[in-house]
Amino acid sequence: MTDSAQITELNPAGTQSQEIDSLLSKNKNYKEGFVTTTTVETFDKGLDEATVRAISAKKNEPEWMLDFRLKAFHHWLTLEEPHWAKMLYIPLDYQEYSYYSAPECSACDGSTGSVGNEIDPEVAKAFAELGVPLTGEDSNVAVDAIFDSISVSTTKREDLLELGIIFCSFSEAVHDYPELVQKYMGTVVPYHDNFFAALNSAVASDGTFVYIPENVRCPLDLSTYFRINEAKTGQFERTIVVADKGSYVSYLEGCSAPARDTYQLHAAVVEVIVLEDAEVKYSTVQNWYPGDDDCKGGILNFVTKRAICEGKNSKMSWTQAETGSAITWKYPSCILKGDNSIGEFYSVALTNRRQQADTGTKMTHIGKNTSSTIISKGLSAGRSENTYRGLVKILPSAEGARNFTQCDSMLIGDKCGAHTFPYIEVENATAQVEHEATTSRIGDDQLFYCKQRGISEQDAISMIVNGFCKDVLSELPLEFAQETEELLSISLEGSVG
Amino acid sequence: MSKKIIRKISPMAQQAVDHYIEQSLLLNAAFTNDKVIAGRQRAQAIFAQQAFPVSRDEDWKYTKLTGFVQNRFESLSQHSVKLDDLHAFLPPYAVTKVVFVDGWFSEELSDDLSGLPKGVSFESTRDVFEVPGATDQLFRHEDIINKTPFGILNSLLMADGYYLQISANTVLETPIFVLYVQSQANQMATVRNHVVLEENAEMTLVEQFVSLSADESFKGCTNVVTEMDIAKSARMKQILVQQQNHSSYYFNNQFIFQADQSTFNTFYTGLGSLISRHQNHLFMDGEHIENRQNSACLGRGQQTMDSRTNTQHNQVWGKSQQLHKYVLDDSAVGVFNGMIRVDRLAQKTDGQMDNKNLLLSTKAKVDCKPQLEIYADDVKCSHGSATGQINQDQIFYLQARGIRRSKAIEMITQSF
Amino acid sequence: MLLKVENLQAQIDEKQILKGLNLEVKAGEVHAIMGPNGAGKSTLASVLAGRDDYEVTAGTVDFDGEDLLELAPDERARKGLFLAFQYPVEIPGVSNKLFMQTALNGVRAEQGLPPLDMFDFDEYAKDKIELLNMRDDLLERSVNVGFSGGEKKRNDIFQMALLAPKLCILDETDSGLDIDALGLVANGINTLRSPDRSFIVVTHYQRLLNYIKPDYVHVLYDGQIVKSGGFELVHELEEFGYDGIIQKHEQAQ
Repeated sequence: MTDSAQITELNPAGTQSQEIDSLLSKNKNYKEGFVTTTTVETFDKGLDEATVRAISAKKNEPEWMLDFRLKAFHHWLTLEEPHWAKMLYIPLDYQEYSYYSAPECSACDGSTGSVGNEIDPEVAKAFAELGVPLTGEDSNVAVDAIFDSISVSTTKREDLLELGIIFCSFSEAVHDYPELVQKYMGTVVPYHDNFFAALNSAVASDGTFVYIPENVRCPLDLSTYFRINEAKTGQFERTIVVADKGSYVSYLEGCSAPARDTYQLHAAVVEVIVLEDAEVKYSTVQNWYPGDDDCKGGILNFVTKRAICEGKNSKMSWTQAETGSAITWKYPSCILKGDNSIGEFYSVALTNRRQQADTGTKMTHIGKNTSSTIISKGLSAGRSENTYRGLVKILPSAEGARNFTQCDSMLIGDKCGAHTFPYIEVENATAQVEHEATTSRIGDDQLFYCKQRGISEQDAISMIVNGFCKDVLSELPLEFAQETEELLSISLEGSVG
Repeated sequence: MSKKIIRKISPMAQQAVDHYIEQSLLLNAAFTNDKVIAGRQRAQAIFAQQAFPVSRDEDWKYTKLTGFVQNRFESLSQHSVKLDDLHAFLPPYAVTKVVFVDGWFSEELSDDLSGLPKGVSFESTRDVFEVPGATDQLFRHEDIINKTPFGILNSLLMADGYYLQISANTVLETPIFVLYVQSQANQMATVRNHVVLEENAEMTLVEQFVSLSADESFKGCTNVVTEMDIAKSARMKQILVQQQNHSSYYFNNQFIFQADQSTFNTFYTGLGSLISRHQNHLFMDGEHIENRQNSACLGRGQQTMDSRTNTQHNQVWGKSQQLHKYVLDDSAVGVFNGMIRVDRLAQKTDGQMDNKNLLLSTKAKVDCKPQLEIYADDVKCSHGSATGQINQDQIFYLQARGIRRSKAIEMITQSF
Repeated sequence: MLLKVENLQAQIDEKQILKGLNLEVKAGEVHAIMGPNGAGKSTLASVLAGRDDYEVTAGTVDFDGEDLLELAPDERARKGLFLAFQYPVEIPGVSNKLFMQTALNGVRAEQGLPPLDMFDFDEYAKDKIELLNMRDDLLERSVNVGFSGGEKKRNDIFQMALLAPKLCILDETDSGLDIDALGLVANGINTLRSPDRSFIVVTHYQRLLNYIKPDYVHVLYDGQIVKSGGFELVHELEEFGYDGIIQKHEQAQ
């Protein structure tokens, strides 16, 4: 970005955006951008039925899992890659990716139950560098760490098991808890749901499985950390969270990938089942590699996340901070089936450079007196495009349903776009649906006020941006909120910090 | 970007397509004007390929045309309407009256238009066809018009309409009142209008759409395209009342082009038709433009009331305001789709869009999509949408004051 | 000499507002700048603080031995120049605490002092809150959001108390205040008066000056200081208005 002269021409009114622009154009230091070298087993690139069978065989999967994969694969072949989102990308060549990659070590074949000391030291180092605790000591979070296609470590699982809580990798769950997996997999996101969900169902690599038994309040935050390391590898994790009657869990998810110059593909599926009186809080900080200045080589992030509030008085809360990826296509949704159930969606999405994000939620109200809240904060900078797309659907059965939606966008500079595409469908007269949206920018007055108090421009911008996102950040667990605040500052300010 | 769309057309739709192409050929034969025929032929090529939109089309997801496609409306008409038939529809205030019957301008039912003040000229589109050179005016925005399905159909069956011009600095005090009458069943009234307000001109336009019969078998369709060029500092006020009978169809696409400092104020009231769709395509192509687009739709029975706006802020200091209200009873469906698009150049834009809906019955339904697409940073844009039912406390309060429940609901609806 | 303004000329949108203004302020002095609307009072305050809407076309400003006009607005603030705004700005979602802790630690860093952590900061802020009679939850609330006009002005004086600047410029701080709020604001200012702190009080009315009692009073008209004097000038203005002075000035020209 060397066209600051042109910017001045186009924007004679003020120098603010020019300054911000130059701030932003500084090469961002994506600190998670290191590569881990270790012995890996990687499939040749390409995708056909044999690949699907090979993945299943590699994981030593039972027949029913292979059947599920094959059904999904054959359906996927009939689908077309969707391009309705407000983003441009060249149709992907799915034969150019590898669909399985795993560090070679004994803990990784998914058939052994115990993990812990056998992690590849290089991989352990990578997670340590990312600040992800794999040893489980001195930590009040339980972590499932996923490296490329497989889960390499799950901490604290024995402690949790004493409470009846299952927290393990998806592959292990297929072996150890086949009834539970079969009971829930594909019930919220069926394999034929959409193009990327079908792809994921066919080639699902690994993921996390969580089951919280009746009336248990999970004492720890459960957390999964995803890392894509291999070049040209797709990560297709499948996560299932089941909260049985009266239970509670807070689940955290973090993501990163090394800097590569070719696109890396991420197509995940998350299914959350919340039964009567249960509550799930699902928080994500997505900081996948966004690519270089033109977002070349960044992660393509196509994710299907959906929760069903199956039982009465159940509650599902999605909170996400999206700062990474070249492309983000993601709509964490709630099906509010149980009477009085509650769905929440809190989102901060920041795009810079040429990032494109099309994200939002779907709230489907089925049960009586269901209520949903949507708070979305979109920040666009550089030459990025940031879109909120959301659906609030009140079905005829949803007597007394309520929704409140607030979508705020902030534009930083005059080369980016901020868009709001809400869909509101109301089929019950007793419903109350409210939607508000605003667009603003960082005011010259606000900046000057901060500067007059001795605060530097960079600090002022970061402060104002974080203030703008406060409603959402306050929903994140404390350490995640801090991490996000830092991420927002880093993503905006390039090398400042 | 333009992905070639190969559409599969259902046999029923194909029959309808063939029918309307045949109608177009009949029009070509009846009124020979090479340029108009060429325009119909251009539309025919597109129409044959695209046919009618289906619910898979994003813009037609909520307004379904499956019933519409089963009709075979006709374009050429012989009517016998008398002035006496129209009394009920005339406004109580002074206007210059213009009457269209089944889409055709009626000189004998309209006021004497040679008496219009200086600087105001009114011609029927059919007469414009007869003036060499003037026809070109009608095709200036053809590309844009032919991007909408009913714009294409309008171009295909282009028959009559009006060309209204207000000269620079002319203020037309008396409103022009245009009455569109459906006089007989099974007619397709295709109206193509063009309004030109020159610099600093001002006028008020009132347009009303009615049917002479409320009978259920009396089905008709009105398809209007209106272009408006509003020059610098000109001021346009428009009121539309659509009260066709409840088995008819109404489609209206208005393309408004505003220049510097002009104002445009439009208010649409939707009461009639089985399916109605009213759309403003507003291009704010100058600085310091202001406009206001409001609508109120009252739906009953099986009606679908669709109203939409596409407001494009293309220059600095534009101000657009919108308020759209729907009251829906029985099984009526309300559809609102609004887009505010702010170009990079359109700094200092102030765009506001509000949508309020009231559902009166358990079967009524509303689908809204208030959208913002913003490319400039120094703008103030907001939209709001609220849907609810009548507050029971309010009803109770009025009942407690001795007002009957039904009356109470009516009063609250009125005030809404 | 703390501040020395010589032949200051400034414009906005190519319109000349300041037309050769001279002003000297020594440490501990309180100067009032008065004048009719449009004389350039707020422009002077803005130019000294470094608002970039204004373009300085000529003149020099020396602040404590440095060329003030060369400094960025935040550097000026960290070196001890404080502006109380005519219209304090709202910053949604940013707490007063974060805002002022960041600001204060910036000033402290400039002075070579270690930053205050949140506990030290709370302690430090406590009596200042009492001084201005601010609400107890002030520090948790977003900067000026939901504040009444009077609260915003008091919040600015509270910030002034925290940052302990060398030069305080009050831009129409009295506008829009009721008599109680005016008393609180004036009391806050008077408490902060000290031999090493100077004030420039910009105002249209003498109301605030009756509380603050400036050492010097200047009348600004058409971008220049046309008359200077002691506190007695306030009473002269009260009696005869600006017209008399302006007429005399124009006759002299």
